[in-house]
Amino acid sequence: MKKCSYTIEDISNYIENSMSDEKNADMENHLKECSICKRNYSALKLTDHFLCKEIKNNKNYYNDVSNYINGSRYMNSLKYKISSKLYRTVPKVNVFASVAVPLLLIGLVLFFLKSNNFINKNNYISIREVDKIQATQPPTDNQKQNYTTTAPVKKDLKKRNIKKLKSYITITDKNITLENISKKLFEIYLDRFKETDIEPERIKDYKIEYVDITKNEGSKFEFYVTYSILPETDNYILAGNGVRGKNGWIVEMGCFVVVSKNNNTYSIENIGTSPYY
Amino acid sequence: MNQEKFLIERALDGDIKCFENIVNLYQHRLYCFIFKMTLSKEDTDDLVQETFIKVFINLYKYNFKWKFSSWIYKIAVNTIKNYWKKRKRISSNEVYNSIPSELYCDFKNNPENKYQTKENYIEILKIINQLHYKYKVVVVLRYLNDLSIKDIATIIGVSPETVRTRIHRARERICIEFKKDLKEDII
Repeated sequence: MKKCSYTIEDISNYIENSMSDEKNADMENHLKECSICKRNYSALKLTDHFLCKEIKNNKNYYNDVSNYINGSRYMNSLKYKISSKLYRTVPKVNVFASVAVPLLLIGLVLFFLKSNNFINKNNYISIREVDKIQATQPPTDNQKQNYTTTAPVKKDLKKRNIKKLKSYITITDKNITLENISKKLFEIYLDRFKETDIEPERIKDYKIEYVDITKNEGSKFEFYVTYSILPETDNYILAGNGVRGKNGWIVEMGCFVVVSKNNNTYSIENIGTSPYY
Repeated sequence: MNQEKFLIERALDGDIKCFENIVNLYQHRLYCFIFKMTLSKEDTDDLVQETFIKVFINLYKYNFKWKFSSWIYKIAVNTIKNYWKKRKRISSNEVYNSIPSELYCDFKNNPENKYQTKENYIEILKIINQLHYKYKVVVVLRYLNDLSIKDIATIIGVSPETVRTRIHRARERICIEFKKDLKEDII
């Protein structure tokens, strides 16, 4: 059987009389031959017949409706007069609102995030924040010695790689020697290993034995420190120098530490077993 | 349109007689539309009444920027939608009994077409009755004299292109279902 090239759309157009005279004649001839198109035509023609047909109904619905409505609803009602005017201006307001509302929401979200420090991605800024919190607390023993320490709180240590955090202190007493500053900085550095979550790095105690300033160039200086540590477990990984001594202590440890100075703030820049510069 | 505007303004000023005129103006058109959607006289009476109550209650929300007929059909469409959520549509068996006699009248004009019989007509009504709501509503609205594709798009809340596609799919569905019913006649 020859495949029919006419579509349902073509038959619809034929029924709606929206084809050219020539195509109309072709379709008319085709419908005489093709039973499938003839059925489609009948289906659409009957649909057309039903949907276009007017249905008479003499019922007056107002009589029924009036039983359910309050006829005086709009009588001298200022409320509906104002509402009506407002609803007529809604499309204009909509255009404005479609721009203003998303901007307002974005602004609110940004404000909320900023006020909760969610945008604070810089470790350095985070430490400064901890510093500010500590400054509002009662003076500690360190502060009594004219030190303002910046040891991060335990929860910060958990969040970050401990080695990425720089130790630094702010000195308010100009008479403190570089050796004491170095010793204090290194104490802050070692204190972190008492609190670390990484078991093979955790220590119970330490002793700083000797600090020697090896270089001093104004904004930077380097010191060599010898010290001993008492690891918390036998799993402690001994790297660099150091010798296992009595009672679990590791002695004769030493390292070169580079410190940079910015106003009254001293911070560790590098730690290594050989001179950095 | 000016007459409609005048009637709405007066109705909003509390002139209930003007609202009665609005009802008279639209009741026939709404009845035709809702009956073709429901194929049930009882349901149509309830829905026409409910639509006019909603029109009166919400008349102050009407914006003259839109066509009043589009607004009123939109209320009718939503009313039908809500009604069908609560009640089931009439069954195919009920279709035969619910069709008014004037819808059958002119089959004698086409005695040569063996497919255009009363029985096939009933089949078509059953198929239309079973059409998915989204296809049925566009195809019924399409045949109302006073609505363009753009108006239908506004009423349904879709693009004119979607309306065209749905009309086409509705016609396709009707043809496919009609063929299925007459399977034994296909050569």
